[in-house]
Amino acid sequence: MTTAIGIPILFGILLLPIYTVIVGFLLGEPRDFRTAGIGLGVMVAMAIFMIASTAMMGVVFGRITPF
Amino acid sequence: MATKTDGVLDPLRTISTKFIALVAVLGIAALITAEAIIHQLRHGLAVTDLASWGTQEGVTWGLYIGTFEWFAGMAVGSIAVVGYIRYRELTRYDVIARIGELWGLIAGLSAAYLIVIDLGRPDRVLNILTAWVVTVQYSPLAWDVTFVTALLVMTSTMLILSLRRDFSEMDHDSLPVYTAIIGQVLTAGYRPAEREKLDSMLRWLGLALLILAFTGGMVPGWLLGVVGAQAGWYGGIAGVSFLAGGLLSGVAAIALIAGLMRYLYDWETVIPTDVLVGLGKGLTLFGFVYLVILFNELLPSIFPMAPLAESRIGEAMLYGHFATDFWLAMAAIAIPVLVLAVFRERMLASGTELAVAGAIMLWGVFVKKQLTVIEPLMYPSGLPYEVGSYVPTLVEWVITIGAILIAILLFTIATKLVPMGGLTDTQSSTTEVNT
Repeated sequence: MTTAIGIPILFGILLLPIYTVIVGFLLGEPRDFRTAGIGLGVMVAMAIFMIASTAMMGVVFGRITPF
Repeated sequence: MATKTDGVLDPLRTISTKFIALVAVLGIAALITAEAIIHQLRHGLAVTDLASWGTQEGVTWGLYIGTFEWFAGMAVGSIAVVGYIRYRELTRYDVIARIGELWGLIAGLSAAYLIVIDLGRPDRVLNILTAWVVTVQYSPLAWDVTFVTALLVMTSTMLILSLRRDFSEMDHDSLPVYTAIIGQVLTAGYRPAEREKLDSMLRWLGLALLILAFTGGMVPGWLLGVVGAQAGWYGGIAGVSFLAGGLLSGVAAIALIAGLMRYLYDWETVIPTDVLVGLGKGLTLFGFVYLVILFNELLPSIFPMAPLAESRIGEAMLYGHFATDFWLAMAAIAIPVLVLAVFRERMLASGTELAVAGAIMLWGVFVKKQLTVIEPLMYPSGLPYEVGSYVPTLVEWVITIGAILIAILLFTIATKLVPMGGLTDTQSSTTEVNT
């Protein structure tokens, strides 16, 4: 059970706001998939930026750390 | 009659010598911090006073993690405020929402930065990323990384989309060239027809931020609350306690910034008195709730039936080495709560009193966060270890205080780059306030 608890926490709690945004943007009135797409695109771009910049930082620090 | 439009763009149009001096001082502080980080990178965590239990008689987490909890809490409180304002479409609080968006993002980044600093070898973030698929199944630390990432992504999305709406209503030629360029980028492809949809999306995003604050916002508390082997941390109230402290510190930070900006830019119409009163009510409520939760957290450990390990920590908290810090922190929260509750209207007529109350409460939460993390670690339970000690080194103080000053520097610069509110609905918003 210890190892299983993370899955419901991830999908049932931590990702709730993401579901809200996706459903709200796409199905919320007025329907406008172009603007919703821009909003979701911004969110995906920011997610990629945050994760990629963290990874890049790890690589750079790995090169300059003297041990 | 002055309107909100008269002043909300003032920070963009003026760069005073005081501003330049402030940026210069904070910039020097950032350079000194960078030097301390390089020093720690060269010599490792040996330059800190962090140490193992047992023969080293130390604590494994110190100022860095305590300050992480403080920043993470402020980020949670800030996004809760932003979420509420955007979801309820409280246009009078537009500037407060922008302050919250910027500070929530900066506080989230500062929290993430302190975690990396505490790793000792920052390249280990690669291990966190590559092992995430496995560790998220059982590790609260992986949940915390997920939460902080979600917070940064959603707060930055809120900032970008709300700026897109604000910039779409502005004449870019009247803005400084760098702000105009940001405006051009953020309004790329904008069509007036999308305005109504953008309003709706900001409402949904506000709801999502509220959900994130009240669910994921408990995760940094769980980091301590699930550690069954550590008396003083373990327990079901840790997540709620973190959330309550976060809501208080987030509102306190926003109140401090709002009060200062109102004073600096004569923003009597941009941040009217009733908005200050609203923030004051928030501080009073969240301060009181936080105190109630802290009392519930502490009581079982000082009751005569408490297990030995728990009672050692409870008594140390109240009467031990750090008791003065504990009681001062409690006073720094309780006294402003009392004063705000009694003298609310008179006290909040100008923003400066609110800013002072916010600063004092922020300091109180900062100290309590340090004690929550550090003090239990000094009392290892279940093993015959001596009571540990911890005296942060100069490097730790420089990096920690530097993190705070760098956050202030980033916010200060941001006020000169992006508008602190929109021009939309200004007239109705001002009318609404005046009536």
